[in-house]
Amino acid sequence: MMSYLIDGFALALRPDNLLYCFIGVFWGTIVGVLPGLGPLAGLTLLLPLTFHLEPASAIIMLAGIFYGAMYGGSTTSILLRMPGEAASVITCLDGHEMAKQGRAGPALVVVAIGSFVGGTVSVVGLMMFAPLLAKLMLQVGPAAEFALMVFALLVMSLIGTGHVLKTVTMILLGLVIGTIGLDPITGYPRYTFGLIELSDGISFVGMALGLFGVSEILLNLENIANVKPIRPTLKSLMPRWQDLRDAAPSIGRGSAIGFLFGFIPGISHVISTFVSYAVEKRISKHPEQFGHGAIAGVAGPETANNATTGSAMIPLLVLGIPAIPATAILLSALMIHGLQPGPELISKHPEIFWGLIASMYIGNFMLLILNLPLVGLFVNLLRVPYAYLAPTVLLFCIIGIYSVNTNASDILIMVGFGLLGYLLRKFKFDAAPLLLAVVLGERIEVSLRRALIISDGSYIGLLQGGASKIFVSAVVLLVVLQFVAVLLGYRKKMFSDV
Amino acid sequence: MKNAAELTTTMRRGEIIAAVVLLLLSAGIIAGAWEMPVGSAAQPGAAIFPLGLGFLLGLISLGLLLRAVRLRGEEAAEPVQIGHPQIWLTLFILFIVGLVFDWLGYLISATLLMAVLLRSYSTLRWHVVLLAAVGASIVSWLIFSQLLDASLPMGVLEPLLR
Repeated sequence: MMSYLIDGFALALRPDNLLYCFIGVFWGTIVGVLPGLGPLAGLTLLLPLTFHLEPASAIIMLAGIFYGAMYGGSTTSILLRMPGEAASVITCLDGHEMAKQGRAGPALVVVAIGSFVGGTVSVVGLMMFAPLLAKLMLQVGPAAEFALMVFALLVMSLIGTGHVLKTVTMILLGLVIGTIGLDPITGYPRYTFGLIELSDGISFVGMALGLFGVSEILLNLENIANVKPIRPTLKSLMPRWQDLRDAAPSIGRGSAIGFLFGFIPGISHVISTFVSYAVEKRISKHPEQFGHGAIAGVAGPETANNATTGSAMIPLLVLGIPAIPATAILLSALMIHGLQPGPELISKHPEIFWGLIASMYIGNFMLLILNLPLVGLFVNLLRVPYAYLAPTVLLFCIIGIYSVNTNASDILIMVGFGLLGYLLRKFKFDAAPLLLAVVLGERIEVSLRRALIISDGSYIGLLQGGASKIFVSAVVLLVVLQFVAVLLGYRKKMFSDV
Repeated sequence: MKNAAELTTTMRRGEIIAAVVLLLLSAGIIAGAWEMPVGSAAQPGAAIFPLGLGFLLGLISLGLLLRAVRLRGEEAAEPVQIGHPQIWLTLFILFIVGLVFDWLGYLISATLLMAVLLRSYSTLRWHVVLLAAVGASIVSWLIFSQLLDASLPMGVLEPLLR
C-alpha cells in the first residue's frame, strides 16, 4: 500500500496536478460560497473543460471542487445566515449567532480546522477500506449486484427528507428516464420517438445542470434577499484557546459521524450535519447554549459534512454507485475518460485511485492554509448583485452543457429539466434520488437481466450465493421497515425531531 | 405582492395534479413498452424493465393521489406560488438560445441572453446592458473557446472570424 501511496503523491505533486487541485478547491470554495451554486453546478460547469486533461488530472480537479464546496458553504452560513449549500444549513444556527457576537473569526477558524480534520480522517478511511472492499466485491455476481443497487435506492428513499411516496416516485421516474435510448443488451430503441439525439439517452449533464443549476437560479429569482454580510478583520480571526478546547471533541465526533454517514446513499452529507448537531446538543453540559452561538454546534456539523467526502467516494470507486448527486457527476467524468468505476478500478488503474487519495490530502491542506486569508475575497464575491451573477451563471451553464457533446439540443434538455426541477422543489419533491436513479438505472437493468439469463429465468435463482442472500434479505427487511415506519408514523416523528 | 403572471395553488391541489400527470405518464410508459420485444423469463427482452417500472410508477402514483386527496390541515392549504414573470422570461430566452445556438453562433446568442436577462433582472439602462452583454460574450468566448479550447459554434459569424 505504501508504494502505491508514494506513487500517488508523486503524481499529485506534479506541478500541473497541483495547479488542477488548486483550481478545483478554489472553484469549489467559490461555488460553495455563492448561494445558488453548489458542488453539483460547480462540477458540471467545469466537467467539459476536463475532457482535454489526463484522466488523473481531471479527477483530481473535480474531486477538489466537491470537497472545496463543502468548506465554502459554511462561510456564508456564518457571515450571512445564508447557507451556500444544503450541508451548511445547520451551521447558520450557531455560526451566525457567533458572528453577531463579534466571534465570526473563531467560527471560521474552527470550521477550517474541523473541515481539514474531517476531510483528512475520511481520506485515511477511504485509503484503508476501499481496497479491502474492492477485493470482496470482485466475488459478487450480477444477482448480488442487482440486489445491492436496489438496496442503495431503498436506503435513499428511507432517509430522504420528503414524504416516502414522493421519494420513491422520484426514484422510479429516474429509472424510467434511464431506459430512454438503445436497450443496453439488444440495442432496441426505447422511447426515442425516432429521434437520433435520444438514442444515447438523455444528456446526464444537461439533466444535472437543469435540475440543480437552472432550477436553483429560478427559485432565487423569486426572493433576491437584500442581505449585508458581516466582515471579519484578519485580527478577529484568531480563536481563543478555550474555543479550540471546546471544539476539539466535537471535531472528533463529527469526523466519525460524517465518515460513517458518507457510505449511505442519498443526502448523507446533509443528514450527517443534522445528526452531528443533535449528538452535540444531546451530550453537551450546556444544551441551552445551542442556537445562541455554541462553538460545538459549528465544529461538529462542519467537520461531519467534510468527513462524508472521503467515505462517499468508497461506494463510487469500489461499487460504481454514486452515494450523492455530486459523486454521480464524478462517475460520469470517470466514464467519459474511459474508466469504469467498480472493484477493478483500483487494480487496473491504481494511478487514478492513489493519485486521487494523495491529492485529497494535499487539497485539504490547501483549503486550510488558503481559505482563512481569502475570507475577505469570498465575502466580497457576495457583494456582486444577483442581477449580474444569475445571467453569468446561466451563460456558464450553456457553455458547459454545449461543450460536452457540441449539441444544442442538450441546452433544450437543460431548460426542460430546469423547469421540472423548479416545479419539483415547489411541491417538495427531492430531485436528488431522481438523478441517482438515472445513473444506476442501466446497471440495475443489465444486472437483473444477466442474473435471469444465468438462472435460466428462475427468480429463486437470484438468491444463489451468499452475497445475493445477504443483499436480497436486506432489501426485504428495508421494505418491511419502510411500511412499518410509515404505518406507525415513525418517519415523520424522526424528521420533526431533527 | 402577487404578480399577474404568477399562478397560485395549494399544496394539495398541486399534489393531485402531479399524481394525475404521473398516472398518465405511467400509462404512456406501459403503452410504449407494449410495442417492444418482451422475450421470456430466461431471455428477457427490452420491454421487461420499462414495463415493470410503468406498473410500479402507476401504483405509486395512485398512492400519491390517495394521499393528496386525504391531505388536510395546514399542509393541504399551504399556498404555492409558481412562475414569477422573470422565471418565465428566463426559461423562454434560454429555450430560444437553445434553438438558435448553432445557427447564430455563441457570440450573438450569448449577447442576446445576457442583454435580455441583465435588462430584466437589473435597473441598468439599455446602452449599458448592451455594452455589458457584448463585453461578457466576447470575454467568455476568449476564455472558454480560445484559452480553454471548449468547442463553441461561430454560426453566422464564421466567415468573419475564420
